[in-house]
Amino acid sequence: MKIGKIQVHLKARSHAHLNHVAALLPLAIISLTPHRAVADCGHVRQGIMVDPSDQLGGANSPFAVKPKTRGVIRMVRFLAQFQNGAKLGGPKWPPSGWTYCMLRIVCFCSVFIMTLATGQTAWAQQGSQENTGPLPPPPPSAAPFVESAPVVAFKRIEDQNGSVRIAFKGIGPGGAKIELRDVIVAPDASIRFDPIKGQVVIDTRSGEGLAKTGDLSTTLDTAKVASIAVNGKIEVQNQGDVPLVMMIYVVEGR
Amino acid sequence: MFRFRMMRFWRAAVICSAMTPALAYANDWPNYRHDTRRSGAQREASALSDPARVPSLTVRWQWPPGAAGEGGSFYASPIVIEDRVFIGSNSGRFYALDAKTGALLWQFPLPAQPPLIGSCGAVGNVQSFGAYGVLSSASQHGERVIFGAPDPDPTVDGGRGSGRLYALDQVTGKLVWKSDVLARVNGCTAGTFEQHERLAYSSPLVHDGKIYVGVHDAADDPIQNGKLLAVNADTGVLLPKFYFLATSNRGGGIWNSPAADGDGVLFTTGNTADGVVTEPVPNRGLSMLRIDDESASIRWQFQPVPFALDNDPDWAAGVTLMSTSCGKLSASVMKDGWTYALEPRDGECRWQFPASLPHSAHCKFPSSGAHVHGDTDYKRPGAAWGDVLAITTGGEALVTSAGVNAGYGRLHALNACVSSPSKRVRWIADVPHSSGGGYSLGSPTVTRGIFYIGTDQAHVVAFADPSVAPPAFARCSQVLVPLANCVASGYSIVWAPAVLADVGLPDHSNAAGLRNEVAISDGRLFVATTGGHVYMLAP
Repeated sequence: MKIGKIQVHLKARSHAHLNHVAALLPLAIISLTPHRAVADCGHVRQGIMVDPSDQLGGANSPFAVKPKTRGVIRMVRFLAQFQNGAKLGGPKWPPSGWTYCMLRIVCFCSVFIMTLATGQTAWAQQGSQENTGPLPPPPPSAAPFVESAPVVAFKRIEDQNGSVRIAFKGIGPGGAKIELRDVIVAPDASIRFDPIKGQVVIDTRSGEGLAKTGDLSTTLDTAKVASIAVNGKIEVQNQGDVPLVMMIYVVEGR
Repeated sequence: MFRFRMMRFWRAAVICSAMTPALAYANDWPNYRHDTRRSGAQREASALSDPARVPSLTVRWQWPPGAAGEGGSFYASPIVIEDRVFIGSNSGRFYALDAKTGALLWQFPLPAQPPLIGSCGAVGNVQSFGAYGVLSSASQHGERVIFGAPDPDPTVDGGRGSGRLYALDQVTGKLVWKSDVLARVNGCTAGTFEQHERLAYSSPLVHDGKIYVGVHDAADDPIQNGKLLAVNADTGVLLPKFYFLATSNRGGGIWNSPAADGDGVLFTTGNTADGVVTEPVPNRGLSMLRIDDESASIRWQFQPVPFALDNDPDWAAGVTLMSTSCGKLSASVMKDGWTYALEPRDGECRWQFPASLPHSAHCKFPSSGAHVHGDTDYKRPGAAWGDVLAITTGGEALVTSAGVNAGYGRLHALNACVSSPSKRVRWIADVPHSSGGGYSLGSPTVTRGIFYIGTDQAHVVAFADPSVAPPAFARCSQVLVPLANCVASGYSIVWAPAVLADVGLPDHSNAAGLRNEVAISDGRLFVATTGGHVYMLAP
């Protein structure tokens, strides 16, 4: 009884794909030959040949079997020969009695269990990714909020979409007031500082934006440090999609 | 005739049974970071993936059983194969323990033989040139275990501790082979041009019949030229065709364990500017690279920090290869705290965290930039669980003044596949019983949404992803911004995960080590301390 010839097209490159291949190929054989394992004992067997390497387009085609997959294929070919009584390296095994029949059942069960286990592994690996997408955001009303206040926390700039903290404050040469501020501006937002009279140095740490004072404007990005003479209000706009984070050095004369 | 049939039966039975170990030992932890993709993930379900059972986690055994410890410190991580635990110590000994009982099965070298310690430097000092013992976490190759260590043989570079790979039989502990010398120590004087190479923090990668390992230096005194070498997996003979050299001069040490993806080997390299005034050409330092596993030719190189800004932000953490819903990613954190996820095929940057640069910059800092990329302590690789990367990283606060320390003692879980940078942070955990300093945490590992990590106060802590167990509370994704200001400043409110277990280890020594991780195998955790103990914990 000739089962037929199976052509298998493989393009297995990743381990994940290999798992599927390992799972599917024995399954293909078992699905075609279960009756042979249990019901065909003692009868003359015609060998089937599962030959995945006989693939469309030859070895250089897009369906070519990768070297690592060939090991799997060799194993499958062995099993196919074995299940059909073909002696390795020879045409076929001779018919036999109870011992041989049991042997075939044992091997059939082994392959079946391996198929299930491998398939389960592949399924489990896929399944483990099912809940790893973004989480729903914490609901403000229901979440048990617990505040863990940072040591030097940012404070919101009143009524504006930004935060600031004073990292350093001191008196420099000539009595100049020196202040180092960490400033955050939300995406697509702008903030205004109280009037400053002096020099402002803006070291942009993250994002990109624009600093405006009077008629002057300066682009802000991580590639350079901007130095601006200010005599009045200064406005900073965030023009990116991530928070604009700056270290701002303010030097005001007395 | 009957005898002939029985022979055939037994022959076939042996072949059939040979196919079953893959079923029986899927729970193993056979490599540093579990697998050659360095995922840090155990996919098999067990009590350790059950949030209802993890809170009962307790120490089941310790080795040695007494308080004294092994005599050295464990900086390497344990691996677990077929109910045997394998680990080396900086005392120069390598051990096999029974995973169920903690009984010593064998040690190498035998007690009467000299340990794997060179004569150059203080014995067991992890900063010494050739006397650092076994800091390399082992890897499985068939029935063998492979690790790197100094060779005390006086006929080899005067016994100063030139490094080799060792292959031991898993069952007997007998030496199968030791490789050609891969890391050379040919002098003991600091600050000279002697070679002070070593195999320490690079766990060997077993891939496609070869074993790959990185070469780095000892305490940058002076900095050595980084190398990635390969040996034949069955003989240990150096494969001269495969030879990666990081620079034309010095630097670019490989302080991490290479990962494998198809026909590529991925790894990261250290800095090049230490004591080097002009940039070497080529400069493969401070980079993530993919090279061909046969020829070592470079497929791509990603170097986000230019030589001009190199203030020693070694790329010390290795690559974590992720299989996500948005494709494969190779992710890692630099020592300066910035985390990157690249396309493994061509090295294109998919995202940077924190997202500080304009999109057009492709995650590369401009040479004129003002950021400090310094010698800070983000050296641990991440753990991959589906679309989630759990990693010790600088976090959103990294870009603020003095914010570089904000990620210490914390574990960030990052959403690898979101398109909006503001959604990158999934949760942030403040790890209890850690000092909060630079080396306060080991590398995280994960099994089905439950994350395990060791601390420098010798605790093993388990966190549950909020999809697995209810979270503890909500917080701002920028840890220096209070919750009330969070959204107005452009950040997101994220979860803090629940602590399922926080178990103190009896010897109260550092369980984080240098690259140490908690191995997860068959419902048991295995962790080792600098106090010289190996522990097994289970619910």
